[in-house]
Amino acid sequence: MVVNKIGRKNALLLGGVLVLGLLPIALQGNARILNVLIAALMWGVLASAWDLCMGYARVFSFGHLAFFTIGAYTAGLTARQLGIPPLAAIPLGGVTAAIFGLLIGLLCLRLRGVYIAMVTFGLHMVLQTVIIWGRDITGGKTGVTGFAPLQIGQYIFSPSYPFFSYYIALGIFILLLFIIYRIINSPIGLAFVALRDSEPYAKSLGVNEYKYKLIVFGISAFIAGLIGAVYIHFYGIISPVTLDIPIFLMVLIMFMLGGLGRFPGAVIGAFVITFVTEALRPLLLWRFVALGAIVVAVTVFIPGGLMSIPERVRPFIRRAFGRRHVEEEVS
Amino acid sequence: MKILQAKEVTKRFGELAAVKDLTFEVEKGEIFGIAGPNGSGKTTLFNLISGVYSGSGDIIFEGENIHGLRPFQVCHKGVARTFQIPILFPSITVYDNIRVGAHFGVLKGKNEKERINEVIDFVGLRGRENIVAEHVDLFDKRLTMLAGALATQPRLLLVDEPIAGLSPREVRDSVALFQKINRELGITIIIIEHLMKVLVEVSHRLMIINNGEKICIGPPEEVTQNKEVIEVYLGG
Repeated sequence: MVVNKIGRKNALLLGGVLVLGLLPIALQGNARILNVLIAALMWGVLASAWDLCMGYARVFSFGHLAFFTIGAYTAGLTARQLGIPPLAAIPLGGVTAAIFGLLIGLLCLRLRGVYIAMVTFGLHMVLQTVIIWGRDITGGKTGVTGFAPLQIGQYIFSPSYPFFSYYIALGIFILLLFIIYRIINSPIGLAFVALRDSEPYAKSLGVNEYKYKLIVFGISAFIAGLIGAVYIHFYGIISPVTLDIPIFLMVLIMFMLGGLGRFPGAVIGAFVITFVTEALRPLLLWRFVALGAIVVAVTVFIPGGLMSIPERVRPFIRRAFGRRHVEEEVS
Repeated sequence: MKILQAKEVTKRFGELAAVKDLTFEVEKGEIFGIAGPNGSGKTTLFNLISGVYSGSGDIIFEGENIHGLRPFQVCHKGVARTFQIPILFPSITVYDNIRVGAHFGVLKGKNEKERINEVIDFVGLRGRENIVAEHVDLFDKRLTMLAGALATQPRLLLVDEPIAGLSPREVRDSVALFQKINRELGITIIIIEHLMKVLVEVSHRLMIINNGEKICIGPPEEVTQNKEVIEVYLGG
């Protein structure tokens, strides 16, 4: 039964990947939609990394957009100033973000809940100020352009080459999500969930809470920074806009909508929200009112997010189809 | 041989001393009962031994002072515990609950699956191991907590009020299980319990504390005849 269940879940995940792989062909290379899909893939990675920290480990980090931006600036600035090729600049962005993640983790070791939220959001605010006032290096509010693009032959990873870029983004997406998936299903993920569910019990069974808090900060910041670096290579510009509150809320909503700590809910949320914000673009800033309404609706009506819908619906199906399903559930 | 020695252990919360100058020894291989009225410092004492709190005085386990170690370190030394309120990891299966102890509680642990399955059979949770922990009943929650603790392969097990809220039949099963853990696995047990009857039945020796201080210590039949104990318990 259990093996069956895991098998079913893996099959669904593989099916999802297959659909993502065939989408560009189905869309016949529609540039506009492909570019939105690329954005959704990148947000999906960030939202999943954030959810690893917030949903699985229940460490209330508000710093993941900051880690994303640290990765972006590290990659962009080193590429521009030192001429480092993208393939080295992108991992460097991840590593730098991970170092910041570990430092913030150290500060948060003895803290919990809302205090961690405050420390991590402190990083977010400090970073914004540093970027805007460190104009000489960071380019200030207007940001930085003119770093070497991620390029294979004549194809450039940018909105001008949607078909090519989509598959690059998908490759990175699959790699990073596979890492997250493996972590969730490893003893590390078990430690996250144990500490989340009951810290005193987990500690009494030999789980070192400090170690796993550092691990979750390190890993999730690394992935956030890495995808931040990929993000700026795609758009060819780094700017502090990524730290704006509407974007912060948007990513937060992605994994809330998908379902906290319910892989791959954050990805599903990222796709829905990216397309909704895109569709609502004519509303300008008013679209964030719509997003706000979605948050309220989800929190009140489906607290477990979209991923919890099957288990909410199951009792009704069971009632409708009678005993057969009940037996299947028990056996 | 002494497995645990507490020497003048004291823990204060502000002005209040929850545990005061407590000195006692636990022999290897025995079941050592601790009783006392509400607020007498029993659970505080467990929290001191298991590293949740640290106070003053020495707590010597197998010749080594473990007072002040963090909970996970105490676990690695070979001291496991259960909690009064059955706190589990509600969102994962009974099996995974036990896996936490089997994986993290043992340094360089091999044959993890084997060990988990052994404990599941030992406590009698077979057949319910794949149920998500929040859905099992109180008795199974207690068994799961105990199984998780056993999976860390302890030499000393601290059990905090394990039978509160159980049916008479489950109480009997629990008592038998503790005796089995003690005899077959050779694990020394310190047990806190309200119900004197059960405690007298299961313990080799008994310590009564009140207001954080030791009142008396000895074989159950002796302790229950002690005048001061009768006073504390009957409020006379």
